[in-house]
Amino acid sequence: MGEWSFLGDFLEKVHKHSTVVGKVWLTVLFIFRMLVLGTAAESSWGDEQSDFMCDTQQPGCENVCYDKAFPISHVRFWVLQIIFVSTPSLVYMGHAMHTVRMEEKRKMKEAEIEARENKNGGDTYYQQKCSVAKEETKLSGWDEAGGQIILRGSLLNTYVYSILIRTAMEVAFIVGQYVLYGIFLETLYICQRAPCPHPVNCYVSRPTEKNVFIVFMLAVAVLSLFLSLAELYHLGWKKAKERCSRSYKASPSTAPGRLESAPQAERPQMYTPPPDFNQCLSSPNGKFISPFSNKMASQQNTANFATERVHGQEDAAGEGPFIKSSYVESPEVASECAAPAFPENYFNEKRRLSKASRASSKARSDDLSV
Amino acid sequence: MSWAFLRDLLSGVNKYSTGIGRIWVAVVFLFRLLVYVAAAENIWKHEHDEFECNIKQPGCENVCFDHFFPVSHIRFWALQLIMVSTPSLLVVFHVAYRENREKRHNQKLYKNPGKIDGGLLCTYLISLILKTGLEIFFLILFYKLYNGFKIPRLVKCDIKPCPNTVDCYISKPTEKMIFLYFLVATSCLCIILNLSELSYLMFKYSTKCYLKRHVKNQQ
Repeated sequence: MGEWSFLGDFLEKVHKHSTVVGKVWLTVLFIFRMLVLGTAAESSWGDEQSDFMCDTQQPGCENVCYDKAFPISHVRFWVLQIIFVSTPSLVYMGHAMHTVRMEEKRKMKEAEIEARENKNGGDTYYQQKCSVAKEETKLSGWDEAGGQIILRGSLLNTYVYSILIRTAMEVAFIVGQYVLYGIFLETLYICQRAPCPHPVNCYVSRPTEKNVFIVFMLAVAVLSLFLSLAELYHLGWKKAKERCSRSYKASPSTAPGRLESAPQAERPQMYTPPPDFNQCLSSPNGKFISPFSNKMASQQNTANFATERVHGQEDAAGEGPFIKSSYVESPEVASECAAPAFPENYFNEKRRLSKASRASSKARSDDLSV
Repeated sequence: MSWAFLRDLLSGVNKYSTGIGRIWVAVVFLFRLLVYVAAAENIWKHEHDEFECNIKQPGCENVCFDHFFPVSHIRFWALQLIMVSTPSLLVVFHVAYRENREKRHNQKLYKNPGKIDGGLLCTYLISLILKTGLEIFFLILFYKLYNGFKIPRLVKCDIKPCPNTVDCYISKPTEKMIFLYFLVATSCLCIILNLSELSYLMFKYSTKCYLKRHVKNQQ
């Protein structure tokens, strides 16, 4: 079991930067495949050749019959399956780490530029550089405040490709296992191969116990396949939804405030977030209350509410051309709102309750961690 | 067998490697070390007990096994893994030497002791050449020792005290062959990675040198 810690350490890092379904998949991999393989299955197959008995005294006959019956042992097959199925996630992790490293280099360069500019006193150039750097941050998919990777652009593509390849590997191994051994192991194997003088009866050791594990591992493989497909669907659906809402956003009348505030929404918590429209709308009960009494303010409310709706749709897709892979605190849409300043914690509480803040609630306790 | 030491060593190496170097470390960990420990070791566990000759003459099996497997495949690969990972230690030692030097002189001698430039670049290149050389050496040695990359099902043996040519049967030849091909393929992949890293570094630093010289000439 200790040998799997090699792979386990790598996959822990992947676990940090995965979607929820990805985390579930990793947990299934760790517990139901690696752990079961390392502890139970290995000992069940431990005496597979020594207890493989053939009804003959001919030396060498058992060897060749065992070799014919089991070209590759189930356990070794599953080891290879786990390794090949985990590899695409590691490629994604490599890309993510590369992104992190590029981001750190960029930050260092920024700091150098800042130091240089402060010396020279050239503010405007620095501001330009800063804004360019912010653009790069957005493109790179790195959230400074949360320290998490945001799935967008090329990183999202890598993630999707890794899931596709993983799915293909699962299917290949499931089909491979079926082609090699079928589903169940037979107790009796009839073998005719030199130097066996005639067809001999060979008896597999512990066939029932092995069948239990074979069915279990097959079921877990199918479950992993299903999880991979679910993740693909989840990502694809989100992307399609976001594209739809983007085309909806393209019509000019609906959300002027949203477009202006989009850079602010995406910018991480380096600035004090402007008051959230949710503060105006939501109460502890989640009901709508209007703190305004005049007509103009309530007209503004209606406009802002429409804005919030649009933002809520986009939040479901993940605020523009990316999908949040982790629950990271980020400031909500800035809309004009004359509500009184709420204390920080209350603000965060409201975020959880309001519809529009779906994508930005804190990491929940029910997120699986391995 | 505890490979944790090698794992810790290679994790240290990872810090001072280029991108391709990190891929090499990942390939060595996953496709060689993990496969060796989780799968291959168990296949070769009882190879001597399961090696059977068609004879009752005592001692015949022993001498035949010894003749056909002077070094067991699995031990050969363990040795190969260790030897191939060791040159990376040179880089770690050099970085430690740099840091030590900075501490002794109490001043910042290097912009970044871990950055691959100057003397460390030479050490890195030497380690790459050694790694590649050792991989190729082990592959050729394996080929010569076992007459190719194959594991036959049946071998014929007529060494004393076997009274005549006897048939001896190797256990699990198909499974052993699958893992043999796998480990040879990963070995070749590691050679390719090392060679690409070597050419990338040489190209990068010769371009840097050339540009520096060009700028100097212009000035």
